Amino acid sequence: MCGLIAVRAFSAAQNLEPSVRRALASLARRGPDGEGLATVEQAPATVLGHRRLAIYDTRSVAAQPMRCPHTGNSLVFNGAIYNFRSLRDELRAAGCVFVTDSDTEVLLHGWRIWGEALFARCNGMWALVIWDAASGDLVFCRDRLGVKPLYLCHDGQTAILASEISAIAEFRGGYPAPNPETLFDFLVTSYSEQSQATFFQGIQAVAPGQVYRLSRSGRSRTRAYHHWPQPGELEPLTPEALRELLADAVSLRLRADVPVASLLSGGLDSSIITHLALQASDAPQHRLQGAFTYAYQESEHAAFDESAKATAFMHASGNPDLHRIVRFAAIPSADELMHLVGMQGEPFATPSILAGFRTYRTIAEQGFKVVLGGEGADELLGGYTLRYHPLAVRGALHRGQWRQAARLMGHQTFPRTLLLNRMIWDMPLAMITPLLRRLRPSVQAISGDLWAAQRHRMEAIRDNARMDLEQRLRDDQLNSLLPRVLRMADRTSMDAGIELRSPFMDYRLIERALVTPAAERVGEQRSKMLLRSAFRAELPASVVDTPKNTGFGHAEQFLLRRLPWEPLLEDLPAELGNVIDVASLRRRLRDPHTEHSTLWQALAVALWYRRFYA
Amino acid sequence: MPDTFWQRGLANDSGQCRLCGATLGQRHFWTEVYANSGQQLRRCGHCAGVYLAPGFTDQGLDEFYAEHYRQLFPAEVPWFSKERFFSWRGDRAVAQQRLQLIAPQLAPGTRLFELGSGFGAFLGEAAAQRPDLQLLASEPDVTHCSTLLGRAQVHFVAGLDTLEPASLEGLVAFHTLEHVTAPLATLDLAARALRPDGQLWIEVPDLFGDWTSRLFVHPAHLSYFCQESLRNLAQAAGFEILSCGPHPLPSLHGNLWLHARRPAALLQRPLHAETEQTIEAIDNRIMRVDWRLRDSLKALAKRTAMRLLGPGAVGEWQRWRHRHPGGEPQK
Repeated sequence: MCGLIAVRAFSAAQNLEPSVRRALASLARRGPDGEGLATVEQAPATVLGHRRLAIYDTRSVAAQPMRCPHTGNSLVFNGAIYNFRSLRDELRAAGCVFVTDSDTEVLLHGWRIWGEALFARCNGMWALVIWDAASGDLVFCRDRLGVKPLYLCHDGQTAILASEISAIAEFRGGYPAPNPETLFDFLVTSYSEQSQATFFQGIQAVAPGQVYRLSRSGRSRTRAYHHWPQPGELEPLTPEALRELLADAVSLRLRADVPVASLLSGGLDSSIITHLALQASDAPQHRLQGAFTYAYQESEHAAFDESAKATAFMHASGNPDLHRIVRFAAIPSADELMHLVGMQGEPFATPSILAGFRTYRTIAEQGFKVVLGGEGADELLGGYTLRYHPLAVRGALHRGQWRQAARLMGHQTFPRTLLLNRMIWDMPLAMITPLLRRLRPSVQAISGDLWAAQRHRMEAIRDNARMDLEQRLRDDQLNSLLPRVLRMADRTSMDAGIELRSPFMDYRLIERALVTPAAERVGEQRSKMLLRSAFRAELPASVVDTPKNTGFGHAEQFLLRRLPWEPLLEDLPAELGNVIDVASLRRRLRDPHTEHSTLWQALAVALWYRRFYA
Repeated sequence: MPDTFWQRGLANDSGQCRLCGATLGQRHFWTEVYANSGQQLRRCGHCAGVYLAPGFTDQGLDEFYAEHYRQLFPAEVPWFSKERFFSWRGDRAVAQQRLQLIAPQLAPGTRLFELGSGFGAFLGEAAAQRPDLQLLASEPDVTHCSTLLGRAQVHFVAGLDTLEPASLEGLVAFHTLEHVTAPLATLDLAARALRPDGQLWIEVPDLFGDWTSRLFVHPAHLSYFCQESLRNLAQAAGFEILSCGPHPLPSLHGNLWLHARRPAALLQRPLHAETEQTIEAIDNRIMRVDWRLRDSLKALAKRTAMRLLGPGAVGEWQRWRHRHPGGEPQK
């Protein structure tokens, strides 16, 4: 886990190194253990830079940029290849000789032997850039899901790739203008990841699952190295298969040359991960050494505090000594909130990520560098009852299956109004659009100019909202919900110098889940029924049978009005008025009924604007 | 024209210019309305490329031409008489005129390649008038590629990338470059396939032509060229431009014609930055075309006619209106 930058300039020769060093400094928190720079000795001017968070083989011999002694290829890499040992065995059989115990060196040899076929062999998370000496191409690639970030900014003469947008801005000397399309989508839907566009015009996320090449003469080429399967192409998951795959995914991710902890919210996903990690711990470099639970100092948030449940779980597991509870006041200071805004780099969908942000810092202070988390379980296996159950009912109604619809409604797993909320999207756009404008707080806050210029985007938003349950889960996993979670989780963990590993993101598990009927994954009376079935025999009923109603930072998202927003909405740049109606936002934030509301999205945009354009 | 367009073949929207790969300075205009594909018309602030984004995946492009292209464009669908279909389209007449421009510059025995040969009218005429030529071509529509070949002996290949380097003396591409997903890569391959002094002729619709409806923009045409951007593209591929401008044939008014030579030393380079004046002129040209109620009604009327009468009859009516001479350019 690290931070990287790569710059290629096609214009007249120029010394890129000073600017690249400045940009690298902005990534220092991602890689506190070292810095490296490599300038390619061929035209066009090309520089690779790297900040290292040492996880596998912490010696300096495994530092980056790493150069292949056979070919001269150079590599900068952010992430972890969990199966690097088995790949290394294959490469040794092909004659490769290794001098480190790192995944980086495996990638370098793998590129030499397998070329672009390397990436389909990797199980892990990565964003990397290779300078291929033979062709002169700059090759760049992200993992299948895009767990690790990589951004591209290209003005036709200089192409910049970096782990974070801040590094690109540092190199260029400023941020590009806000992207009105992304802002509009975010304010209407709370999502911004449907395309590769970011909140900054001209800065694009590199698409996951693709290999990009940028040639010496400026040619761009992209090729997919991975396709997610459609139903019928693989065997669907059974509870047994799910347990087996997840256990292997946890075991693979437990290996590190630094201490490993887990996030334990007390809920189902993190308990399963912690349970499997404890079971798999069998060697010093393959051992869970801590489990961290976030809790609140104030008793008023007891309803959202799962620390007692987590404590009971760790006692039952026989490892109470590994458990650590970190307590915080739910309401952040203005400084802390703005630090979170700055570190995220783009507007984010919920203030609940404050919990992760704080917990990772505490974990890092206690000497841990790797954390296992349950990210992705809710999207992959249908954890959001309020999101998925109304869709199941709507689907039954669309198919004319009235009895089934009545039965699903009878489980009372969501408020009736939510079904109405879903059914509204079946109406003509001419009716939906004014309704949204009038009723959804974040849409009310959109400025008149932005609304007029971008309201044509409602058609695509409407089409997305009409997806059935099957399409919804797939889209959540690959295009909207999970990418949003991944972006926020990467920034909060990397800001503390923590490598977050998510076993639910193992591609083998995802492939099988994507071909498993959504209704089987979600279930009817609770959520994630397949996951609950898989672990019912080995986890306490209090974990397996409790409905999902809390989670990390659950209190924060219901305290919108109590956030220290007032001083932060003073002295905002006048241009923000092109995006947000700030007066309206202030008025609504003062409304005593504003607690859990999409108004956060408007506030997030305002705070982001203040941080990056004021 | 279907109400909704099959979209699964669309690629990721990389946000990069189709021509030069830049991400900054991409102006987004309107969403394509011919097929409601969800693609957006954009202009690059660096190279002045105008393009639809996102493009197609390789598989999506193949499927688009195999399954959707002729349904989307009724003018491409014959109705009862194929003879009348081609007569009204004017394929052979246009092919003769193009050949008259090119043939005098082709040495005896020239190996001439046509990229995207369509129904084969040009190759048929070339074989008839210049039997000394060695003809090669690529055409993804294998069902129809021989229709107008006549007695021409043509060696069809899968694509430019399958040709030996420096194996051609001439290469023509009539209304092809705007269809490909990567125009610069295509011209790079063309330069590679041509021998030193080999010649290239390209014909594409002119962005500054007299189009007045947004229906001019559709998923089959992924790029839209002006003189400057076409010249820039060919130069970046290493070609020496001999001429580039409005089409010399009056019947092909509204198109661009580029004639270029492959130099002995091939130097590929990035596209250069276009002038602000060029970019401003392009923006003004595109912004002149709006979408009014009248346009919506016309599109609706066409969709309804397609449903009621089928694409063949609608296409016949369109061909009758635009029948050659003075008709649309054809392959």
